[in-house]
Amino acid sequence: MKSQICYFLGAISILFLLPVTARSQDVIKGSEVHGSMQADAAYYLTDPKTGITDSTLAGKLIRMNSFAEVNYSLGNFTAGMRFEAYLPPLTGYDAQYNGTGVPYWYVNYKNNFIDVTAGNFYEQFGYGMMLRTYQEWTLGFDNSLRGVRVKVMPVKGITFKGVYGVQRYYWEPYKDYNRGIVKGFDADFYLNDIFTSLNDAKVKLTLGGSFVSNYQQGTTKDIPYNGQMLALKLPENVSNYGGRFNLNIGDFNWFTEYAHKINDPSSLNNYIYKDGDGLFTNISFSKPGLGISLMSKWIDNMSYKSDRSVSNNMLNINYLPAITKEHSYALASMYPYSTQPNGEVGLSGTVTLHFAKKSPLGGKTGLSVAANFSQVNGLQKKQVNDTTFIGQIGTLGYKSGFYAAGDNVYYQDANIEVTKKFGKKWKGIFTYLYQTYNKDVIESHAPGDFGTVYSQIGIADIAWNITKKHTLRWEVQGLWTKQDKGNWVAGLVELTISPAWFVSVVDQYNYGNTDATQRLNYYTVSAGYTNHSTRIALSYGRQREGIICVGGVCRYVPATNGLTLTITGSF
Amino acid sequence: MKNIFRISIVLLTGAILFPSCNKISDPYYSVKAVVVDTTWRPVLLEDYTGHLCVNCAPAATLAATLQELYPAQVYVVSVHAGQFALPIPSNPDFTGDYRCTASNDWFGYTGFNIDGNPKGMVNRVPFNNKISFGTSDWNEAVKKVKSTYSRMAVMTVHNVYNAAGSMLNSRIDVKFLQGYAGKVNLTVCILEDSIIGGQKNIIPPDSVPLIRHYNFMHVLRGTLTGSFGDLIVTAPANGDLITRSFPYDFNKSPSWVPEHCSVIAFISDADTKEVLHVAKSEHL
Repeated sequence: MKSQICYFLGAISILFLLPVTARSQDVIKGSEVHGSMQADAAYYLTDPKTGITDSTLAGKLIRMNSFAEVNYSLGNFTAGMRFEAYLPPLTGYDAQYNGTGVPYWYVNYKNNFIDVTAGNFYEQFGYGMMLRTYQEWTLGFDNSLRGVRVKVMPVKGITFKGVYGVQRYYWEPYKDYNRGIVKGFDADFYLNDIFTSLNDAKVKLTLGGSFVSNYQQGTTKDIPYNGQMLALKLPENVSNYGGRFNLNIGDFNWFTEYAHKINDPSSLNNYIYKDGDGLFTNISFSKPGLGISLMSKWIDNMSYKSDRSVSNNMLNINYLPAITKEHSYALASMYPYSTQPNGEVGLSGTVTLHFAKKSPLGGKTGLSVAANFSQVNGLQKKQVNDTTFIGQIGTLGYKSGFYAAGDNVYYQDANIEVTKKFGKKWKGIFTYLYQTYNKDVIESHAPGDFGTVYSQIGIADIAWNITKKHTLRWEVQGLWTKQDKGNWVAGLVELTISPAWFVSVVDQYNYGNTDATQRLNYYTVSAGYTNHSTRIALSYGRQREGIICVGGVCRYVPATNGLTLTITGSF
Repeated sequence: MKNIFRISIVLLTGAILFPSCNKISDPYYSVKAVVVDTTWRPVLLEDYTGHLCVNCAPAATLAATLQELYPAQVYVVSVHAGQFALPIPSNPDFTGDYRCTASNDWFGYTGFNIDGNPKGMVNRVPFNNKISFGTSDWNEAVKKVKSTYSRMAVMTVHNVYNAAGSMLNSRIDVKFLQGYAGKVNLTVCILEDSIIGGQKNIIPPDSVPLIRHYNFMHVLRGTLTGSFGDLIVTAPANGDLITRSFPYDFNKSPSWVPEHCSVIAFISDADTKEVLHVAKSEHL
């Protein structure tokens, strides 16, 4: 234990000192060095009330996730790398991250005509339904490509991109075709730049198209099924292609992307051979004081990975857009939506209004109102024939029509948020939400296991600027539901002393749990200090079990109890 | 003209690089004949399961299929352990507690630190760098083990069961067919078939949330040795014969049905825990 603590403190010290010692500098005239780092460390305690025992902690009481990234640029050249350490990973992160290394490095050269990257890179074609690689630290998600990326801008308004590489899979090196090789090509045409006659036109149009292909070695896969060994025929090359447009007319904007994927049997779709389709559209309108956004999506069998046997979030080649609102308040985000790649149909709409000062509704200080509604249903699926059940392995799986929504509501969220200043020193944000959360589908439970959770949530967030330097903020939240764990109430008090300090106390109390032993307080006391770009935060408390989602991609968060230290910095 | 040339070069390069896609037409599979070759090492497939786990019923079906496809080559042990194996006294469908000391020891962090259900282990050797893994890897792991590792020993499990006194005496004979440099443990387990109870479920065609009368097979009830076996020999030579006997009084376990029970025994490396050979008896 002593050596574990020494190692932990040593690692923290190095990461903490990094932003101080490595400032931007002129190693060679005109060159620059920039970087960032983060260390999230935790000391876990047992907490029998939440089921945390010595056994669940597995002896690993101290854990840390950390990274340090450095980028160097000189003229047209840039190079960078990121070091990561998971010693071991924080609870809730995949244990396969355990270890240290440099999973990300690159060199890049670019000028007005060409942009070439060798090494790791993040790339997105359009909205991402054909290809998107990115990193999300809070999810433990990284699907970067390692290989070569070339962007060519032959004339103003035209961009071609080509990518060729293999994706990151924890620390596992690529060898002997142990995962797929991803190739992609994208073309983007901004017509108003291409045609000089359209340069000043009010109507602006961008067209784009992408083609992505994944090569995974192996033309057959043996799967035992119903007392037989099935030798499934597999497509070694699976393509995903489509197009998009973005039309802009003044305050009006309309973006749409369509993707089509050929047969891609995988563990996630139970090895069916149906083609996949995806359509996403977003129409928005904005002018001073008014914003309107409408989104819809249709996803049918669109999981696309560079290893068909992987069923978690890793090795996603594409990204399926989320249209539901991401909430930041604790109780509002208790039941977040996770995109269902096997099929869903959804729509959402948001209206934001700002009533100016001295208007009838704005009063002396103005008033902002944002209303949002979203709903996602499952697909309407039909049998391909009388003898094949829906989703049967080694078949087309099912039939489903264009935008054929089923009756099964996966998620619904209706919310309204009012922001109002009261004089110069007071500001309030008041939110009401009504959410419908199909826990069985979203969390992959058996149908009827938990059922659907219907909840009403009310939130008041008040900030009081006591002085120019001192701000006191408090939240009062309530969540009322007859399902799942029942009612919750939460409170927060936070004192900020600008520009450096904050201290806060948070508690979430599950007073409505039908199991009296689980009517627990989930309390956290936090304090933080900011010095220029370095921030240190220390917190102690109990964290409830739940799910965290970013952009529809989610991670399970187990209950924890203990001390957490977070250090972030950039230079 | 220069621009047209540039665009053509880029489009041509793209067209050359990215034309690949394979469309598969029906039939999407063929039924494969399975070759049973008992000259290779037999396989112990441990199915870590739980009656509250919605994906565990199809996993058990897969394990049973593998055992059926490879008779005398694959032996399944259903290890009920973890959160999904907890009994729920207030729910009559899930009052059964199929856990035992060995299942908890194997599942826990002092054992193999299994991180969920369903998970499997194949002869306790890593597959794709993981000691336990999901069902999608079971078949490949079994194929790899049973065609890579040479046969280490010959084992027999000889049971004498006195039904009147409910007394079992199980004798295990191990004859090594090659020398082995390490220490060897022997683990002897009692398995029970045909236990009826509730099982949560999600996968078609039985996509009912609860299979109320699920037939649990190969359930690990306990070990007649320590959970990780007893040391029987260090650095055995080719031809060494080792015999051990294990008595067990079924009166200690009145809920077990002896006629549904069998004995499975395996030898393993005492340090790495890799299974070197496995044998199983018929029902008592």
